[in-house]
Amino acid sequence: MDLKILSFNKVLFKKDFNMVKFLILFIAGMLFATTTINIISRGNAFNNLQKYYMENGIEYNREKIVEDYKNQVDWVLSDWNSNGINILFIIGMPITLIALLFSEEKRQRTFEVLQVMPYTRYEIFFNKLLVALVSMALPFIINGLIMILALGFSPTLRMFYSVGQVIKWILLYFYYQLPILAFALIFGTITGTTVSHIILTIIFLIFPMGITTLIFWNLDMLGLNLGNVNMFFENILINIMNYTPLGVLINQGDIIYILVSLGMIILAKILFSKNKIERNGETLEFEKTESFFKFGVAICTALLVGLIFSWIFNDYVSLSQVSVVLIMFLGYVVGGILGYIAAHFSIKVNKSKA
Amino acid sequence: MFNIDISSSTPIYEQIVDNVKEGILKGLFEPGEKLPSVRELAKTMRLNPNTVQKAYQELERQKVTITLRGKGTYISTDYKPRKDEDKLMEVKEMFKKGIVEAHYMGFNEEDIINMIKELLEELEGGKAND
Amino acid sequence: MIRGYNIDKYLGRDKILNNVNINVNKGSIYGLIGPNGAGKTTLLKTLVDIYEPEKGEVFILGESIKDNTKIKAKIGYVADNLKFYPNFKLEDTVDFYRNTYPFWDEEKFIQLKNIFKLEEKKKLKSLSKGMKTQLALMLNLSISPKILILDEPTSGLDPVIKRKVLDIIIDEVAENETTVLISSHHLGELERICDYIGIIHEGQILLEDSIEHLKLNVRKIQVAFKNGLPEEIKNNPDVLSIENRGKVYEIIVNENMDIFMESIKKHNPILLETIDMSLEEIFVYKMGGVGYGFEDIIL
Repeated sequence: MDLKILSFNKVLFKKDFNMVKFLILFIAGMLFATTTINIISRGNAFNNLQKYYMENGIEYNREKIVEDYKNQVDWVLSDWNSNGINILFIIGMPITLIALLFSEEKRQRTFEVLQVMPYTRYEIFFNKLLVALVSMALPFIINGLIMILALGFSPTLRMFYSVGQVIKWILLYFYYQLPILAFALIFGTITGTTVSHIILTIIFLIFPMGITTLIFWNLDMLGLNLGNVNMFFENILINIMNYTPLGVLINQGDIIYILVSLGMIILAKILFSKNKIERNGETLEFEKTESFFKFGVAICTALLVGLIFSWIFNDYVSLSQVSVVLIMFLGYVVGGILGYIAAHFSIKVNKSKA
Repeated sequence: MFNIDISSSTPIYEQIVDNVKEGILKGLFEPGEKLPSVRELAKTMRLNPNTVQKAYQELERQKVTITLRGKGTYISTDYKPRKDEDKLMEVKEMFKKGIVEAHYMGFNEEDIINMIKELLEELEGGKAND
Repeated sequence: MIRGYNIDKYLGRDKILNNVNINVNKGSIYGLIGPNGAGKTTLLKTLVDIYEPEKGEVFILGESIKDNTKIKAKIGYVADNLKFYPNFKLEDTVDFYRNTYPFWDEEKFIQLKNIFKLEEKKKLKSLSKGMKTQLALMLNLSISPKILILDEPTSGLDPVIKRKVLDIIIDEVAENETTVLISSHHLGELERICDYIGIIHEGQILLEDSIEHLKLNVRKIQVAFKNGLPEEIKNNPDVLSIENRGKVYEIIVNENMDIFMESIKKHNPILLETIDMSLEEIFVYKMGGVGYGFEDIIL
């Protein structure tokens, strides 16, 4: 039993960090191109604008322009919606980190090497987690430092944003990524390959909203009158989203997400301790989850195909409600079988030939 | 250096012991001469060091060699072959076999004794010539 | 030094190891022999804590191996299918080992480097199997192991390298009294350097004994009597097998050779000889020669 909570190991940290170095640089570069440049170039932009107005004798409201710029920078720094690519960072980076740090080692069977060495499972887990957390923050810290330095060099910029805002920005995006990371971490410990990890993580991220939508539409198609619920469907989806890691996107700075992330990380640690090396490379880590997985997929595809069948047939023929139900039922059966077979096959293809 | 047959029923350590004794008889090893260390012999002959160790222990037990701590293993200067009962039986059996064979081939008692004399001369011959 | 008690190991639904007991004494070179698929690799992996047994326990150097970093620091493990980080260069791998193991011996590593001559800048994924084995050996010897576990280290190697590897193992044991456990499906090369042998077949240890003991105990005798084989001899419980050509009987005895010889001599044999048996033959007779496919193991 390892009583040390902080189990930092320089060698492990270095090795794991080297695995993700290029990713950090890539994201930092992307951030620079989409966010940092946007912001620090405003000093010059403002000055040029002023110069232009003055040279051409145009009347302008300096304060309004400053106010506009300030608001725009604030928007960029505090609203993830300000740039479509931000969502990619928030979701993509944590998942990719876990894929590289955990799933790839499983796929390449290199955990065996570590297992024989004088490292405890906990040490291995802790250092990878640490690398992931650092890697998540680093691109933002790097760009944040650039923006703060820019403030030092340009008095103009100081009108548009402050050091505090930059720091808030760094913390905000760490806050966004944390639950996604913890979520991906759990899936890293219950899957055995990189492909199944990435696919399952993404699916389950959107699953609550997805399944609600599916059920809703199915019920609608089947003719069950949902009455008032129809109007507030969007609200329902948003409410559900609050209970998923993606909820951070609509709730800034809510401590509950941080606490739940901690909980997920602890759960992941427990699951990781139970990982069997011989299951590395299999689609799912724990054999007992295989049935659950197959039936789960079957149910989802059943609902989906049922819906699709009803859409297809509705396009061609106007049908009575009974016929619609029958067609959907047929869709359920076909979809269910196809889904089950697909899930079964995706497990079988990775089955150990040992 | 030594002649070891892995597929023989005789354990390897015993073969080493026999080899050393034969070597002494033939004059390959002088009394007081230093034998290779366990390590060296194991490496040269690609044998298990424990086996070599056992052989050396047996040689010492039979007072064929002496081991001086930190210095090495030496052929003892006053090696007197002991009459080991079991070994005696074995040797007798071997002689018996030889005699039976020779007899079967048509040699008489005198021939057999001459043959033995010749062999002794051959074996000790190297020694006698020093 | 290495003790496995009542080990069961499943891989998926298949029971690969079935109540395996193994005992490797300090300073010995123990050969684990068995045909392909017998469970050698699985057993070795269970002994070094790569696999966790469903039942049973593994003790190394007197302590349970499970998550035991103290003991793992003293164990060298050379796998038959070396899985390192493919994008690591050789020198990165060395660095990793150097910094991981507390008893790393730099001098020894340099010595071994000069024997094996591998290029440091090469990436691991570009190494051949033979080179990987050499690297693994180099690394695992430099950590000053008390225990060395090798899974078919010579398979796929050319004779020159094979010899180098075996020589280095002997050297290691001779210098440091390292305990060695080495698996193979090929008896020939191990017979020479091992002092203990364990035979594994279909997940069970069928036999575990010192080579010396086996050779001293299992003996072959050629004997003939004027009036045929006495009943007493036929029914002797130590007899493993009796074959005859005409009047000459070939008898394999399991133990108590002396007593058996006494009982033979009582009946005044007209022919009595002991015949050398190779280790290979000893195994065949000891296993009853029935359906274990031993002929495949041994070359």
